[in-house]
Formats: sequence, structure tokens, C-alpha cells
Amino acid sequence: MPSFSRKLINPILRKDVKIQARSMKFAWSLFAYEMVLAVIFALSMAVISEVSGSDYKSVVSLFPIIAIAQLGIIALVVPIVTASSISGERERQTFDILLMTPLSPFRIVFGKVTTAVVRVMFFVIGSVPIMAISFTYGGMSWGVLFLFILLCIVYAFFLGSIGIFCSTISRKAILCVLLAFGFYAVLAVIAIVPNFVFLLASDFDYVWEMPLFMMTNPVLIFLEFFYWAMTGEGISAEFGDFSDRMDVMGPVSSFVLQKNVMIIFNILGLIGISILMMKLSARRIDPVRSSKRQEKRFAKMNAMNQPMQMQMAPGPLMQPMQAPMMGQPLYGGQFVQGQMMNQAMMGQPMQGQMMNSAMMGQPMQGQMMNQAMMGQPMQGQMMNQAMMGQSMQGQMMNPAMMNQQTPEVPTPVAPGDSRFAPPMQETNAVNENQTIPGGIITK
Amino acid sequence: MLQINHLFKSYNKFLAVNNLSLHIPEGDFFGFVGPNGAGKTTTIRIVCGLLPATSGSVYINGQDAFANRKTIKRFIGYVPDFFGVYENFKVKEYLEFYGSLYGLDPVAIKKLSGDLLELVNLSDKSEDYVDLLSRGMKQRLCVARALMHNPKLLVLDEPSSGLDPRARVEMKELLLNLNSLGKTIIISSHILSELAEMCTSIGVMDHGQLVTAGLLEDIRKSMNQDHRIQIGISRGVEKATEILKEVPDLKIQSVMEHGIIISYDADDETLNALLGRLIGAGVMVSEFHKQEENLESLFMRITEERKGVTNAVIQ
Ligand SMILES: Nc1ncnc2c1ncn2[C@@H]1O[C@H](COP(=O)(O)OP(=O)(O)OP(=O)(O)O)[C@@H](O)[C@H]1O
Ligand SMILES: [Mg+2]
Repeated sequence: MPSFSRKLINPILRKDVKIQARSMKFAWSLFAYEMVLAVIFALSMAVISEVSGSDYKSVVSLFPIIAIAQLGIIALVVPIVTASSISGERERQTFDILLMTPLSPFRIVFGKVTTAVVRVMFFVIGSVPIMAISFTYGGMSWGVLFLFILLCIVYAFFLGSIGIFCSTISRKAILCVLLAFGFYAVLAVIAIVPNFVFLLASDFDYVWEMPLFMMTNPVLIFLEFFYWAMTGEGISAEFGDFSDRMDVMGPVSSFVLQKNVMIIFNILGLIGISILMMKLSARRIDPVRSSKRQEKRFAKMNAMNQPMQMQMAPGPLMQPMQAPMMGQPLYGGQFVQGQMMNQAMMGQPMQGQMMNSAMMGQPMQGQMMNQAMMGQPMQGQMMNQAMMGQSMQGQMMNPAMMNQQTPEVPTPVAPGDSRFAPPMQETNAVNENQTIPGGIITK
Repeated sequence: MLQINHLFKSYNKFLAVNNLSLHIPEGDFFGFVGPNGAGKTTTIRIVCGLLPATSGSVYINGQDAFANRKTIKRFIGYVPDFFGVYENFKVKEYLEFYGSLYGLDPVAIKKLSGDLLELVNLSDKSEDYVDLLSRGMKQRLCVARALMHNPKLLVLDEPSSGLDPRARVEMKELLLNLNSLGKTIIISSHILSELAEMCTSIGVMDHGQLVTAGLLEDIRKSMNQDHRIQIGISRGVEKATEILKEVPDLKIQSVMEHGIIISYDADDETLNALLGRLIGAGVMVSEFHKQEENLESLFMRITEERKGVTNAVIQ
């Protein structure tokens, strides 16, 4: 049994709940919350008795008041809890350690979201006694309360996954909370605007297609829920009956509008979005995934670094020649320029490079032949260099820069020790190759 | 065990690791030295897969560290440069939490945490809250945590910063003990002499580049390249000078009131004979030893030299 629960319950959740249970801050916030609820309770009782006299049945309307207040609190509290959950681990320097364990980034994110859910459910459960008044006096079904708690969990989960996503964007907690609220606004617009557009487009005629757009709108879940809780009917009662419509949408809408189907679809929609958001967050916190995202960029850079790091034997001229052919004039050009700077700095003119030898006024044997042979690549080369000029600076791995640093590196203290093969030895070795005049070119 | 090839890392335009290549064999105790901002932490985090490299490759135990991160994680125990604690967590719970992440069963975790606490000498603290431990204890607890999954390679980023001399010695002994148990250890530090007391090989890093790397003995040897020998003489300096002048290949570097420094590349037997001759001639020798350059001054020299080179390149 214990091993079963260990596998089922996310270890991050267990850790965070344990820590939270010992925190005085949490105890105080729960206490403060109960106080606020008591005030809301007293106020609403006053309002209810003012409006409907001493009819104790009207206590029923206490339930939606308290419940809606709680939904608001969930929407406020969850992003605050999640905002610091990733950055909190980062600040404590425990995040790197977590990433080094077999725990997958998704499980870390999932654990953090469930922690926020559990935390906020303490508040919801804490308010059950007050809500229960509506049920005992108002004669409301207990199933409603149960469904409400279930919906709160889904809703908190949904908000938590938005919150955690925001917390992967910024390290500043306040910014994360604001981002999450901004996200709510965007979602609300996304959920509502299509309905209005559709309504306007159809001259308010095809109202029955509305529910399809509302499937993932959390507001609608609760609208439906409260409608049902208070009247015992599904919200579909408002929309009328579409089952006799002749087109395809008629039966679909009427199916969706059945009170159970609607809520189940809504719940599934929210869960789907939550999982998506958590997957995105997991991707963002995974250092290797994020590197995969940049892999293409690195691959390109590797392609251009390789020849200059190693100064491979295929020779400098191969590069500019290939580059235009492969449609990568930039890299080719860069390479040449890096090479030239290098030579200029190191004072090692590389024979076989026409540009170079011409510049240095060292005509060489084989040059004429090379020039004849290389007429076209030569042009490509020059063009590349002309094109290059500015694009050099912006590059992260500036080859020219790296080549400049080549001569800085002193020879290793223990050159005899082959275990520590310094990269620069390789470089020097191949540099000698390059001084073979024309050898590489004429091949 | 660990092979790094042409590793580059740039933060935007700033090149934090510049063409670093390194091989650390199994069972080695490798020390990474460098001043602040040299790029030690950056390199270590890349090796652990916590930071994407800009280019280059890392192989751990023959596996590509960037491609097989899941497998790599099992080989590495990582102790970050700042010790992270959860408030309201007990020492025992702290270890048990990490144990549970490795999927061990609770009984095994309890036993393992007990053993590890014993190893790092914290058994009597197991019921204390983690954030109330002293720095040295936290550091040792963090090492215990890193050993939870019995990794082959232990990577520690400045484990002794902020520790008092006694805690440093304890940490050193713990690490030497682990090394003798067969763990390959990589440790970073600002202080070369501290590493020299425990490491078998050393890499000096500066401005993102590996300046030198090799066995500690080789580095030590290279430090005394002109084979200086210091001879302390209470009486008979002139006499000794005369004798020394006659020895071929021996150069007298300086003569002081109570001692002579010579430069003499000879094996121990020859040196012994020379000492015998001095004593036989009635010179009162109080000291006779090879002069080794202080590790700190070596470190300063290496990093200074490089500063000079960099400036020269800029100009
Ligand atoms: N996230 C980052 N963004 C930009 N620059 C960074 C980042 N992390 C490190 N750097 C820079 O990279 C360089 C190397 O930093 P790193 O932390 O690796 O040095 P270090 O050798 O560990 O130094 P220390 O001994 O102080 O710990 C520094 O100049 C630092 O400013
Ligand atoms: Mg560091």
C-alpha cells in the first residue's frame, strides 16, 4: 500500500504539502480567509433577510454568493501560489538539483500545479461549513456541493497550469501574477468573441450554435452549474429545443446542450488545456529541450565553426568554393574573412590563398594556374567578403574573434601528457598543412 | 569518464567558455581552478546538462551527454555552488525526499540515508531542520544527497567556499575518502593550494579558456624548471661558494649571509654527494632543499601572463 501511494502521489506535491503544513504563514492565511468568509456570510445574511423577510428557504441563495466569492478567491490565489513555485526553487538553488534527479520536467510542473490546487482546496473545504447552511436549511441536494468541489478542483487545475506557464516566463513573482491575469483576459476574449461574432453574423438567429464555442469557457461551466443548482434545469432550457432542426448542427447542439454532456465536455476541455499548458511549461524549464529548440541554430553554427576550429586539411579554398554552391554565401564569406584576419595577425601567410598572397605581395608558384582554375570561386569569394562586412558583428560565435584568440593560448604545462590534449595543438599542426603551396588546391 | 570537446558557451555576445577540451579518466580527482568569472560554474552546469552549450560535445562514460540526458543523470552527483535548503524540512526528510525521487523503496531509503549521514558525519543531526544547520554541515548534507543514487562521477562547485579551516579539512577528508571508494571527482575552487592537497590533476581556467591542465606532479615539476636548490648555511658560506663554483653545470643564483641558492639539475644521488662534500669540508649546512614555487604565485603568474597577452592582442 505505501509504495502504491508513493507512486500515485507526486513527490513534489508530498514535499510541498509537508513543508506547507509546517508553515505558520499558511495557517494564518487560512485563518484570515475564514474571517473574510464570516464577513461575507454576515453581510449576505443581512441582505437576504432585508430582501425576503424571514423566509428561511431563501437561505439557499447564500450558496451561489459564497461559491462565487470562492471562485474569485481561487482565481486570485492560484496564480500567486504558482508564480513563486518555479522561481522559489530557483531561488533556493534547489531547482538544478531537482532537474538532476530522474524526475521529468513534466512531473515537476505537475507536482507544482497540484500543490497549488491542494493549497487552494484547503480554502474551499474550509468554507464548506458555511455553504452547508444553504444545504441544511435550503433543502439543496448534497450532490450539488460535491459537484461544486469537483468543479473547483478542475478550475484550480486549469488556472494553476496557466499560472505555472506564466512563472516559467519571468522570475519576478509579481510579473508572473500579472501575466496570469492578463492570460485570463485573453482567454475570456477568445472564449466570448467568437460567440458574438457568430451572433452578429447570423442576425441573432442561429443562437443554437453558441454552445459549441463555449465548450472551453470556464465561466460557462459555472453558469451552467449554478443554473442547474438553483433551478434543477440545464442551461439548455434557455436556448430552447433544437432537435427538430433539419441541418447537421441542430442535433449536435441539442446533444451538447443536455445538462450532463455540456458540463462533461467543459471539464474535458479545461483538462485538455491544462495538460497542454503544463507540457509547454515542462518544455520551457527543461534545459535540454530548450537547447533542442535551438539545435538548428547550433547546427548551422557548428557547420561554420568546424572548419575554423580545426582548420581542417580540405583547405581554406574548399570552403569559399563550396559555400556559394550550397547557397550559404554568408558562412563561406565569414570563413574567409576570419581566415584572413587570422593570417594577418599571426603573420603566417597561407600560400595557396590567392587573395592573401596578392595582398601580401608574395607571388607564388602555382598561383597562376590556380587563378585560372579558380576563376569563378574566386568571384564568389570576393562577393562573400563584400557581403560579409556587417553580419560579422551580430554573430554569437564570431569566427574571426575566435581565431584572434588562437595565439593567446600558451602551450600547456604538460605537453607530454597525452591525456590532456589541448585543442590548440591540433590547430597548430594543421596550420602547417596549410602552408603547403597549392597542394590542396591542385588535388 | 568525462570527455569535453571544443566546448563553447556564449551568453548573448559574451563568450563564457571558449574552446575548452578536456579529458578526465575514471577514478581521477580533478580540480578546476580559476578566478571569479572564469567560467567554471558555466562549464560544470553544461556538463551536468543544466545549461545548453553553444557548440561542442560532452561525453560521460562514453555517452553523449547532450543526447542521452536521462542516462547521464544517473552517472552524476551534483553539488551546486550554493547550497539549497527547503525551510521546514528535516535533515532526514531532506535525504528521504531525494531518495524517493530515485524510486527506491522506503525501507531502502531509510537505511541509505542513515548510512550516508554516517558517512558525512551528521548522524546526530538527522532530526534537525535543514535550514538551521551550519554551513559546513549543509555542505556535507548536500554531498550526502548527491551520493543518494550512487553516482560514478561527483561534481562539486566550490564546496568549500565559506567554510572555516576545520570544516575545509573535514570536507577534504570526506572527498578523499569518496575518491578512494572509486568515485571520480571534479571540484572547482578559487584556491589552487587547497586543490593541490587533494587533487590528482588540475585544470586552470581563465577568461573561459583552459590555460593549463595536467597531473599535479607535472605542474609542480614545471614550476621548478631551473631546479633551484636552497642551501642554508650557518657558518662557512665562502667555503661553500668555492666548492660549488667547481661543480660543472651548477649555477650559483645568489649568495646571502646565511645561505646560497643554486641552480642544479641533478639526481638525488648527486645532490646527496654534493651535500656530503659540503659537510665534509666543514660547512655547517642547516638546510638543503629543492625550492618549489608557491602554488598561489604560480596561479597569479598564469592568470597575470594571460592578462598581458590579452592586452597585447587588443593593442
Ligand atoms: N546567465 C548568464 N547570463 C549572462 N552572463 C552570464 C550568465 N552566467 C554567467 N555569466 C557570465 O559568464 C562568466 C562566467 O561565469 P561563471 O559563473 O561560469 O564563472 P565562475 O568561474 O564560476 O566564477 P566564480 O568563481 O565567481 O563562481 C561570467 O563573466 C559571468 O558574468
Ligand atoms: Mg562559480
